[in-house]
Amino acid sequence: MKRKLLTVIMAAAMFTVLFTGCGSTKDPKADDMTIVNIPKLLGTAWFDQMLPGLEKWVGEHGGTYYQSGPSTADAALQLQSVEDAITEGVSAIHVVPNSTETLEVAFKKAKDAVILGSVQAQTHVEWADAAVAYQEANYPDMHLVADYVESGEDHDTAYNKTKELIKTYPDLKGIIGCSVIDPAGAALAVEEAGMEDTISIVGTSIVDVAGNYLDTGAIDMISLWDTEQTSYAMCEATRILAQGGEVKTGDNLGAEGYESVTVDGHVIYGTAWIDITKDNKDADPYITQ
Amino acid sequence: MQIKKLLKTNEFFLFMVIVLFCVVFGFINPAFFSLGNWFDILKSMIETGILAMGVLVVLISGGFDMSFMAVAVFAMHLICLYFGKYVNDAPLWFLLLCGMAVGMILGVCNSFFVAKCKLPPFIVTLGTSNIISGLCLAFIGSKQVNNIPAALISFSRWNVISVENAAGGRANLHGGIIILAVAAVLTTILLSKTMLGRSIYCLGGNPFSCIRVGFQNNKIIVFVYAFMGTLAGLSGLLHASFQRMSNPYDMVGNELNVIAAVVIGGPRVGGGYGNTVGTILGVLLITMVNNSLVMLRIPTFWQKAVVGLVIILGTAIQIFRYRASRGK
Repeated sequence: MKRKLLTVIMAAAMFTVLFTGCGSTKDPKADDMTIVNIPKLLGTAWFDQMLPGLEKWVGEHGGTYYQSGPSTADAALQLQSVEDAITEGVSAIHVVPNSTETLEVAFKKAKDAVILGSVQAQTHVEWADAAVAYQEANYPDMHLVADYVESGEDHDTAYNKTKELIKTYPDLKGIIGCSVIDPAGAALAVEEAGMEDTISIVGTSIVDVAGNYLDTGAIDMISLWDTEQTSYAMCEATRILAQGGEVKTGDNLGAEGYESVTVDGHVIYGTAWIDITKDNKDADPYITQ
Repeated sequence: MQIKKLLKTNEFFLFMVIVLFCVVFGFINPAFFSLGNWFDILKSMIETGILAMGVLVVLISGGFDMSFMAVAVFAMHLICLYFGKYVNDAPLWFLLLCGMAVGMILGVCNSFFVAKCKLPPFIVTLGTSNIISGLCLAFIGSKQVNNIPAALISFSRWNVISVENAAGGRANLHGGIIILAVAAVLTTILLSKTMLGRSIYCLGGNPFSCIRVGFQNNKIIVFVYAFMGTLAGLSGLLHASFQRMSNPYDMVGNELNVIAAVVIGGPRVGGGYGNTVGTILGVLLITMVNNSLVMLRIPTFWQKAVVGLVIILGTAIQIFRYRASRGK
């Protein structure tokens, strides 16, 4: 994951799904599809939330699903999970990739080997690039102080790197965190330094992880979307493709925020994002504990 | 004479390397010398330093441990989940003791395979590391716990020194540094002032003469791994406190960072050598490099490479000096 430094709020496109490879040699019925969901890493609320989406879809359309993936956000380990799934001969692989480059070869292999639609989310680097492009076009007085700083989806790393950033750039005014733990890790560092009022933190997160820091003011706003809905939409898109169909702009994928998608090339855009400040924390679909 | 002897020690040499790094880092970014930065480096040393004390003792005994991070996470997640849910107001000392007890039990399990079954410690602990992580995820939980005991949260805010800096923020020295200091002093006393400590060096130096002298090797091995486990449990709980949450996927995978810090500090894999001063300096060097790369404006993808380079350089220098001294 990349975290970047800016002075404002990222309001760029929040979600994209990219289709790579959807050749179909057989014509699978939905009820014999085996879908494997491979997130960046297991065990975070963000990706756990994809399971109910899969469950709901499988409940309605039949088939089976399982989740597999690395325990750290490691591209090579994730590749193993993808290759295992290919060997197993599943019908579809849903990937939230750590690195698209690493997975490309495996995707090709998957295309050659099986009937398969592999669906993946965009990487954080692309979000970060979009945020910087938006800032350059709209906020000329603002500038990016450091190269992207990588947290590796690790809270401790986000925390320590932020501490360094605060010392290195005394004029730092804002931090954008792309991974769910980034805003929390950064906020812990900012709070310890007593700089809540001078440094703004925004980013992708959920209330369960970032709620305390929204209350203290260390985090100003988080944006999120419900991965349950995303996961459902991915399943629906897979079914359409596997049956030889096509997803077009304006199509309804049956999930909240994906009622009328926009398709650009192989990328499907939804509008499922929700902005959360300390005043509307109840709007977070992830509150489970 | 005394000073001449001191100048020839590994520790002094390592100290000079650290001074050199400081000068270079400070030259590139003067903020490196700020009080806040040193407080941050000291805080980052706490977890690694406590673990390093355990690793040092294991290495001196001629053993090896790859499972301490898994032990730390197991203790952390177990205590944070159950106490967080059922006894949220448990006092800090009790939580730390429980964590250490869990760690100790797991350490004793390791020593069983090493002492009784005579299996190679590297393989055994690699195995137990996977077993312990697996059991942690399967039986304790695979989800991050944010509702950790209140005492751990308030401990994370306990600063012994807090100074306002020019930018309007605060530079804080965390109180956990006292725990590291106590662990380091106790380990020093153990290694240099007690019979048990001498027996650990003896076991690492030559296990056969160790038996002849009259030590019971198996008991020493049990102690060594239990000691490692205890410190791992302690540092696991401190980790949860510093992060204000318990994530079962944390820590595991960073074993070699700690082992590298210890090895740079002087002991040889194979046993019989090493001391706490060298280890603390090794931890300082690794932490300093790890926590300065953003400040030095090194691009993110290069940071790992730089850390690796420092590890190789640090170890290589030790080994060349050792060979040179034997050549004389």
